[in-house]
Amino acid sequence: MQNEQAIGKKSIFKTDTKSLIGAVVMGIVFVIACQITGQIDNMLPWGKMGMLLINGTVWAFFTGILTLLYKQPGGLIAAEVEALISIMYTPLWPTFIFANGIASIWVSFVAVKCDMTKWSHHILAQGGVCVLGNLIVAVGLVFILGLPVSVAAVSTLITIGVTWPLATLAQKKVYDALLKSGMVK
Amino acid sequence: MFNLNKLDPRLKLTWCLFLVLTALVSRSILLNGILLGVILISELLSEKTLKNFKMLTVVLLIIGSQVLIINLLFGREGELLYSWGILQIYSGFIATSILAFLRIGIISFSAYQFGIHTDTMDMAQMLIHWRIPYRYAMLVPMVARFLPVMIGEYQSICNSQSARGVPNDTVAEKIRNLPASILPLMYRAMRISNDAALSVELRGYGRHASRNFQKKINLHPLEGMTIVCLIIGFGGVLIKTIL
Repeated sequence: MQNEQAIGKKSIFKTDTKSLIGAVVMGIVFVIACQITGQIDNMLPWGKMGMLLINGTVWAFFTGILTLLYKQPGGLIAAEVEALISIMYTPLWPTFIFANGIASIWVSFVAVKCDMTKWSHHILAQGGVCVLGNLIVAVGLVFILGLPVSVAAVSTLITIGVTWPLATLAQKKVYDALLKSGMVK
Repeated sequence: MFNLNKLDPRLKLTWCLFLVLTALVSRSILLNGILLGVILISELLSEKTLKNFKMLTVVLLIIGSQVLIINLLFGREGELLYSWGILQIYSGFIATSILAFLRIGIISFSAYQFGIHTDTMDMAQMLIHWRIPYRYAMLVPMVARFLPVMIGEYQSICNSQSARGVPNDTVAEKIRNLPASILPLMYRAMRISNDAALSVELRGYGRHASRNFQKKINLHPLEGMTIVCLIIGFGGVLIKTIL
C-alpha cells in the first residue's frame, strides 16, 4: 500500500488505507456482535435488571483487539462506528462515544508501553477498558436513564467484575492466535 | 414545503446537539415534553408519517419500562408511599421515570432523525468543511455502504449453520454458537476490507489532497441565523438551569 505510514515498531499510528477501511468494516462487525449479545443478555435475568454482562464482555474484547490490530486512528474509528450506530438501539449512545474513545486510546497507550506478550499486559489493557468504559456508562445510567446512584454503582461494579477477566482471557487468546498467524507484527 | 432532507447537515447537527444537550441539562418535564413534541411535529411536517420511529419506539418503551421498574423498587426520592419488608415505594419515582422517559425519547429520536434525514455524502462534506482530510471524512459513506453488506454476510453464516443442523433456539445454544457465528464474520470482514482497500487505492483514493463532489453543500444565511439562535437558546436554558 502506497500510504503505509506505520512509524516504527512501537508507534500507536497506522494510517494506511487497509487499516482505515478494515477498521470501518470491523466496526460494523463490532456492532453486529454487540446487537446479538445484547439480545442474549436481555433474555437472561441480569439483562432484565439492566446489566449487560455478555454484551459488556464482547464490547471490551472488540475495543481491545481492534485497537491492537489496527492501532490508531483505526481503533478509534472502529469504536466510534459502534458508538454512532448504537443510536439505533440505545439512548446511552452519548456515553458510548466517550467510553469507546477513551477505552481505545487507553489500549493504544498500554500497547506502546508493553509488548502485549504477557498476561499482565492484557490484564492492564482490559482493566482500563472495563473500568473507564463502565464508569462513563454509569454516568449515563444516572443522567440519561435516571437510575438511582446506588443502583448504577452496583450494576457498574458487577459489570466490571465479570467483564474484566472474561474479556482479558478472550483478548489474550485471540491476540496470540493473530500473532501466530502473522496478522499482527 | 418543509423537508428535513434538504436542510444543511450543519443545521441538522446543531439542532440534534441542541436537543440532546438541552434534554441532559434541563430537569423540567414541561420543557422536555415540548422538545419531544417538536421532534415529532417536525417529522410529521417533513414526512407526513411517524413510521420511521416505529422500531425505535418499541425499543424505548422496553427501556422505559425497565427504568420505571428500577425506580419503583430502588428510588428513594419523595415521601414514603408504601412499605412491606425490604420493599419501600417512594412518591418521587413517577416524576423521575417520566423525566427519564422524555429524556431518552429526545436523545434517541433527535439523533435518529439526524441520521435518517442526512445523506452520508453530505456528512462527509460537512467533515471536509471542518478541515478533516477526505480520506477520513469518506469513511462515513463507507459505513453506510458496508452495513447492509455485513448484515447480509452474517445472515448467510447463520443460514449455513442452520443448514448444518446447528441448534440455535435456547439461550444456552445461542451463547455456545456465538464464536461459530462471529469468528467467520470477522474472517469475511477482513477479506472484504482487504479487497475494498485495494480497490479504492487502485481508483486513486488518497492520491490527491482534495476531491470533488457532484452535489455541494451550502449554508443558506437563514440556516446560519437559525444555528446562532439555537446556540443562544441553549445558552439561555443553561443559565436558567444554573440559576
